[in-house]
Amino acid sequence: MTQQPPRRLLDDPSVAAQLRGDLVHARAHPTGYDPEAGLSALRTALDGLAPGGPVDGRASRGDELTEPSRQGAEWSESLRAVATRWWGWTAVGLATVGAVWWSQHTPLLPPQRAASERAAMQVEAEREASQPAGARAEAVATAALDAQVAVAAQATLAAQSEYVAPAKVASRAPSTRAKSAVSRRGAGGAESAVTERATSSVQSLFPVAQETASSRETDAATKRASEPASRASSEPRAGTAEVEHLARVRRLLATEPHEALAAAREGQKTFAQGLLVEERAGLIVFALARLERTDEALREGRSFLRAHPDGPFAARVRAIVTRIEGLTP
Amino acid sequence: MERPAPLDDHRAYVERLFREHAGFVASFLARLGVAQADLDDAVQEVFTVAYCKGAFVPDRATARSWLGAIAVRVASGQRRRARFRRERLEAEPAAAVASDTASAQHTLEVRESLSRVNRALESLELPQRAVFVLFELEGEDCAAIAEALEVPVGTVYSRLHTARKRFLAAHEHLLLAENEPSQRRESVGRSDAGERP
Repeated sequence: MTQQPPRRLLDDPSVAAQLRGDLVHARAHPTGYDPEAGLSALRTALDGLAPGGPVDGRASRGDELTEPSRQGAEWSESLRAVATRWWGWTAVGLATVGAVWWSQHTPLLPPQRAASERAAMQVEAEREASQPAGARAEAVATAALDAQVAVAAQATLAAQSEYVAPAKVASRAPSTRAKSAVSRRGAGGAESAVTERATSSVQSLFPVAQETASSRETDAATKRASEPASRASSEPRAGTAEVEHLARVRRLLATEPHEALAAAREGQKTFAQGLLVEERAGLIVFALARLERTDEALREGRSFLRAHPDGPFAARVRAIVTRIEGLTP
Repeated sequence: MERPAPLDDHRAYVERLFREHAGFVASFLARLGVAQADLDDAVQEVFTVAYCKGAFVPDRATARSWLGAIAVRVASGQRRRARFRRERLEAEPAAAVASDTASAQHTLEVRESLSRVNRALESLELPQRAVFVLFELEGEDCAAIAEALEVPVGTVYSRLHTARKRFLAAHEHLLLAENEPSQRRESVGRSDAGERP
């Protein structure tokens, strides 16, 4: 026997007019929402998931048992990604070590002072050689530039590698001390002007070093101002954690099915009431198939198909189950 | 009926779903009781989960009812978290009404209507509330709701029946409570007149 679809309250004349009127108003006034503003936030969120991509039933076919070339491609892709990341971090590390070594091996003086001293010596030498004022000014500015470049480079590297506390960065930022010392030693207004020009060029070369201290202060102020609004987003969001967990399982599946299996099973416990139970169950079947644990894959696969016969993973799981059943004598 | 997108276009497909249905999802989440302060996060969560789930498999479900089913789960999670606040529901839609309605009298009526609907919705459990909102306010049909929620259509009817009973009772109670003070004033006025010599 089939039931007749019910009539909506809105369309039912036997329902009180007041109630229908209220429903009409409710229907006509949905919550205002700006999809374009939300879309940019969504894109950022999806970018964060990009390495794993969607956990789609079609993302990798139900071919875990038979397509090593595909696994090989996934392997090489993952290795390439790891290598790229490794080289990137290595380069940053080497640069940092180099900067530290340079600062420690420059003649027993802090870098700002050493460079300033070099600048002063250069000025003296130039004065002795009775060079024109403009040329001397350029030399002073170059020395100042050297000093500030060195300091700014360190501050930039430190800021990028996040090893330096904000106070240290502020104290190391292209120093007014070095600048003023050089200016004092300089001869006349022309030198000061060139020094200023050099300073501003350094600032444009190393914006991170210049901005670090002030931006941190601004950030702190912004954070304080928007604290009530941002508290919600800074709180742990169970849904987001589950999404990130699933993306990790999927990434692992391509290269480390053992780990993927363990993580997926752990996820089923952690997010037992979660939104992605079906997806994790599907990934468990795929991982078992990749590990050639056919008995378990068959058991889990059948169980999956009973629970989710029409879901996006069903076709792949069914293919695995059918294949294993075909292998069994 | 929408078809699932090819995998290469999956992200574009989810973005298109967002453009077309984010307003519905936001409204639906609000009607399920998600506070305004949490609404942006909840909408993002719905579409991120939709992305992770891959394309939905359309049978009788529509994209809206599929997203609605995810939204129900997200709202359920929000409910479990501490920031779920019922009292915010009343004031928020009214503010939107005030800005787009010229007549003050009409604005007041709409405010009162929305307030009554929201308060009556609060008397419903989440599963009934979801079915009621999808069917009565969003115009989805029962088969699509059943498909999206992965329950038999009979369960949808049953939830809708329960939801209507409770909603009607709550609505009536609210109307009585609103009319009570004026009735009391009238009766007080009458008794005052009767006592007068």
